[in-house]
Amino acid sequence: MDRRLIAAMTLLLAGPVSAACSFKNDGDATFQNTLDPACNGLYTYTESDDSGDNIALGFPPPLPVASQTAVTGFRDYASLFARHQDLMTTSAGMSGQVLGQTLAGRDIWIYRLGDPDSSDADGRTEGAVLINGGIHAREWQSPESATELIETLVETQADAYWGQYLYENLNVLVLPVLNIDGFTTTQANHDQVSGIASYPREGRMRRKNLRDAISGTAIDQSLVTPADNYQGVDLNRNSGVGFDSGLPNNSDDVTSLIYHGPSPQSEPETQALQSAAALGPGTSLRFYSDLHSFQRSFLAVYSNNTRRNRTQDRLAAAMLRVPTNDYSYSVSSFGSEIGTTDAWFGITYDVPAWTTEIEPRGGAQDYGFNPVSHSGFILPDQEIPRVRDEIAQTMMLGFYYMAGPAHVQAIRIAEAGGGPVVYQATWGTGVTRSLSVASDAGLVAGRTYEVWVGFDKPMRWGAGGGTAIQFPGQSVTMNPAVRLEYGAGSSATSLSVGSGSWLAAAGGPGVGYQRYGFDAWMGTVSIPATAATAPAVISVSTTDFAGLQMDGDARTAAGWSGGHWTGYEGDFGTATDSGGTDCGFHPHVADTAGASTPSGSKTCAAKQSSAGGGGGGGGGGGGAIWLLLALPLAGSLRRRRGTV
Amino acid sequence: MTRTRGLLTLLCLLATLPSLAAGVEDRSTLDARWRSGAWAARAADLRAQAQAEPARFREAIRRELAAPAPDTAMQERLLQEAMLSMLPIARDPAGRDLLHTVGLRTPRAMTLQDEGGRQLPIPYADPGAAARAVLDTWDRFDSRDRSLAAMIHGGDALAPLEDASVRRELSVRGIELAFGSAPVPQLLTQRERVRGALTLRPRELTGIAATLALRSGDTVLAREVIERGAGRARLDLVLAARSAFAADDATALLIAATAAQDVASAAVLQLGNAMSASPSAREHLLSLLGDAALGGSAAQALAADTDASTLSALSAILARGVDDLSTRRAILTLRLNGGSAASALLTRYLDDPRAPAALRQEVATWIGA
Repeated sequence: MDRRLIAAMTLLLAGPVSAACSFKNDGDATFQNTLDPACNGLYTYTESDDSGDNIALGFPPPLPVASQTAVTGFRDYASLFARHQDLMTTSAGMSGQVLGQTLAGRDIWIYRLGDPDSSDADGRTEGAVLINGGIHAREWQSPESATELIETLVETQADAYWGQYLYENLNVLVLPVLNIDGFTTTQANHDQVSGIASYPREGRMRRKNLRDAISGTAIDQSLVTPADNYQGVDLNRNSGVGFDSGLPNNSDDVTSLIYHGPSPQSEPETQALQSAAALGPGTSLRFYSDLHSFQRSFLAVYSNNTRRNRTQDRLAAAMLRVPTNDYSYSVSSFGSEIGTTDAWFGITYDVPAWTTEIEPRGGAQDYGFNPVSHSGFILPDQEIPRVRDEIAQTMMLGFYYMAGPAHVQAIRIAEAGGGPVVYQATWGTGVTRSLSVASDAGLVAGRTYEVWVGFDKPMRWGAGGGTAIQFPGQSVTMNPAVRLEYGAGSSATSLSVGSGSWLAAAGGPGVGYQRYGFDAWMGTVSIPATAATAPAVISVSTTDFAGLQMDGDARTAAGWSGGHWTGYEGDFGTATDSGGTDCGFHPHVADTAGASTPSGSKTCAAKQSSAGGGGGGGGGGGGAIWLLLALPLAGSLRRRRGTV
Repeated sequence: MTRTRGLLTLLCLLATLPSLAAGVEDRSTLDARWRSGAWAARAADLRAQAQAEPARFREAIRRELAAPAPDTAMQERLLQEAMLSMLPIARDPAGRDLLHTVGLRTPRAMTLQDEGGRQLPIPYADPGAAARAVLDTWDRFDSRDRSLAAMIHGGDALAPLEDASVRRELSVRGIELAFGSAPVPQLLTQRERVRGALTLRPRELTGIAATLALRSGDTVLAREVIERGAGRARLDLVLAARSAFAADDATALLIAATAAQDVASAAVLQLGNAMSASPSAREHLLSLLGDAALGGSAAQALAADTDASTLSALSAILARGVDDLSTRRAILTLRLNGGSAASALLTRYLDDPRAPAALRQEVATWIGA
């Protein structure tokens, strides 16, 4: 029997027929009469045919494809799942576990990406980040992007570069598809929807999970049983922070698109996601993002922790510049939560957190196709390869940022042209570190030296080549500000260490990078022939390639706790969220070779004035400008919380 | 540059504030007004008029353009729907002229997107975008019709590709539509022309050649598409191969496609669907289990149809007692299958002293044992 006929018969049995599907006028797109045939039209998305109940998009409606590897289009759930499982099975850097089951009984898997040990180079528990995908069923951009992120992390874990840095220093948790029941419903009805044409709700446009509000069990995935087509809980309204807050954009109505569920964390999917934090563990969590579409924006919340909020603003400023189509950042005030997962993780764990609304901004018209209502949830096949690459790269940059500020790990100074090493010192590891000085023979007047500076983090990006370039969307000052300062009073001298470059080849101190490509820089400095013997100091100031200023004091290891950076000092040795100039290496200048080591210690200029360390600006400075403007803006935008 | 982009973003956000302050209406509020007033009825009238009386329709639209209504949002939506109603009508110069005119229009009515976040206003309706999209569709249809006409008369069905006045991707799609609807005998007259063009312009011709191959059952051409083609259409060919070609031909084609990196996984999974009709497909999948790139796909394919011979082969792999890709993919096959026989084999593996202890430990974790 024709399914439309079945639907019509079902509706006839369900109740009286009214003329139109009527909004409740409650500020949300909910209807008064969801069992009415007028609210249960059946529509088919097509490329060009808009006759009858067809809705022409202008491009072929994407069909989920059985392919484990990425294609010009969207993969079906079975293939995505098998892909995750294969990577887990064959990659040493990926493990997985079941967090729970969906309402319909499907296993919800989360994957951990990182080295087997859970300690960073300083012996502390690694920081953790958590990405959630597929909470809203129809937002296919999300599982694709989460899977691309997993694939990228696996592929780069031994790249001797930033992928390996993340692998060795961060605990990355990715839950690629949370609302599996809903997602498979949308895929089973890839071009079919029900509802009204401008507000389709079931089939390809299902958003919620499958909860039947009366029975509590899972509804079916069919469109021809309209009695349940509006059922389900919005999993992004079901968390305990701001649950049923009475604010707009979450609803008590079980048929609403944004129905929050019967109680906080009532849904097994919500419980599973929240339990993922323990894998961080929760005390190590540093960042959370929930991948959605569409709008091209980061939708965040503020907590009552201004330091956490400031870090979130800066992190967002760096990340939103990565995609080629600019993203926006908007923030809700503390107290305006509505049960979203970003609020739950952000406030519960005091970490930067937001909902990432993947493109498009408006809909299919962004790509030259028909401006059809809800077409923003149907990204054309040809767009997803670029989009998932960009979102994965955006998240990777965020991970790199939240892995922590860099510090100068070692400095080696040798006479240019292969001459002897005159100074070499290295910081040890641990929460509190000590400097080990292997050589301190003095930089002799009239000679030229190569100054090699090693960091604990790859500091610059380089797309498969030997030259450091800007990470997409970033604009940091490429060379660090490295100076040799010596003398006092009127004879105080500050020499720029110049003609330097970031090192792309291996080789270690004096030759190449230490552990990761571009984790070391080398330049030259010439000591004037008139220089007198004096204590000296090397000052170093720079940002990493995401614009995060380096730690100003390597004696204490930087970390994250209490919703802010710890052990992250500025120019004056005090805790900051902005970092500063390192002045921890103290060679000396000698008027002649073999001159005795002078007594005393040189304090660098950065520690003597409030002007800061000079060249450390770059992206960091840009971040500061952003912040000044963004905070008042965020305040003015915060009144509304989005239906994300 | 970074600062510039950041500031631009901020300025864009700031630009939205006045509209927020002015009380931009929710989409659902606007939609309710649309449907409760006379606007929806007017749109329906215009839609009917667009087909029956296109001249009067165009006149009505030009009147709307010349006289802004007090309710801008409703008028914008009316214009958008009117433009979309031009999709199926006769494509004449007067209609094109109207579409070009409206296509220059920028959005004039904003709303707060209530299904994707209310933070940022987006256009409530965009008649300009609708007009431009309809023009593109007309261009596609024109290319389709010219290609079809050429086929009927024995001419060059690819000629629309040379029309510089039409965007190339629209011409390509139009010809693909033509090849999808023309009678097969007419398609065959184009075969050699398409083959030659495929070599010279693979990105543009892949979809056309794939359609021809699929509709005419031409496995030789299909093989050339796999070997020389590019882009999404090659994937579509792989997905359709089993329904278009005889079982052995499809299997041979899919095996060949496993050498093409961008469609290899899809080809392997299609081979899985071909196993019941083609024993060679199963053998090939088993041989792929140890392949770093394709073993996972082979495991997924085998898991969907794990018969006794497959179980026997997997058991033999496990019995080797080594921890390599083949073993891990054999285990993955059994896990993805999840049937009683597969589960029993896995359980036995946990107790098999020949199995590497570390791998047994991993398996125990995976299956929750």
